[in-house]
Amino acid sequence: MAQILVVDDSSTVRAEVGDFLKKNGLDVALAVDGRDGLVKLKGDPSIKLVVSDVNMPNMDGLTMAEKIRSELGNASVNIIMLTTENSPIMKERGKAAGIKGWIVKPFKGDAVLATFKKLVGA
Amino acid sequence: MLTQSAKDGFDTLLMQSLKSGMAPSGAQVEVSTLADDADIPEKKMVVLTVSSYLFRLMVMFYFTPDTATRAHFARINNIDATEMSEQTFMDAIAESGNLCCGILNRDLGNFFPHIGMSTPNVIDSNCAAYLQTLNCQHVRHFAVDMDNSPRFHVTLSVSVYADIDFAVSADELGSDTGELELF
Repeated sequence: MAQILVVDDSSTVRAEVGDFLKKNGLDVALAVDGRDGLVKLKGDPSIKLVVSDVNMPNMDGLTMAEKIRSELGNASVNIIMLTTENSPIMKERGKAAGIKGWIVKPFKGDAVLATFKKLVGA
Repeated sequence: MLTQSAKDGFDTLLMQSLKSGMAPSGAQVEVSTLADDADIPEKKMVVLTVSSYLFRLMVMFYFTPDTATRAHFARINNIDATEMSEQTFMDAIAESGNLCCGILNRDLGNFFPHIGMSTPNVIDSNCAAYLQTLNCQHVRHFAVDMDNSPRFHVTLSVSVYADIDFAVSADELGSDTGELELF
């Protein structure tokens, strides 16, 4: 049972973001790419927030976001992209998929913790 | 043709990204240019490319998988170096290059809207000897120095397919990374 699903192909980023959130009292699940993210989200209805990279092997984060809405039919989970990308075209695609927000790496936990907690109802 | 202003712009943006992406948070970073690659002793490198239809640039992050380098990346990732697996070490190096190049990619996007970046690849640094076959119009070598870390080296090479001219001003450096943009 987790509140936040962190999706990133880099174990470094998964550890950095996951450890920070855990230290701040949040329950975290991890996924290695978009395909894994879909499986983890489908298997854990307690997840309220997905924090995902964009560029990943097997399935990228934006495709995953689109499939969360279309294939899983999950319209309620909040999705935030955490990526080095800052392209307006990508952001527009994310908005169309119903993502909630966009963070440009590097991750600065203190800047987003309060919002994350609010989004998961903590 | 690549103008001098454009060459300086590529160099400036990369140097800025190295300062932001290679060091532990809050650490002092000095980035300097080298006359050539004769003083680059590292045996491996992480390679990434940033490309548009106007140019392709490659950034090579050299490293040696020794104790000092492991300690540096363990420190960045807040883990004990003795507990760092080979896979975690390699992933940390790749992610460091990915982060630096991501910053460069993002900043270049202000000048070239249609731009994309590769994923990192680790290869033998001897491969750098074949750079000239890419017909590069600009090659620059950098040294990166941080407190309590080994010196790292980075090479930038730029191949262009059209005339390129742009200028980076000091006012354009720095960005709002880490902030959450809500939609």
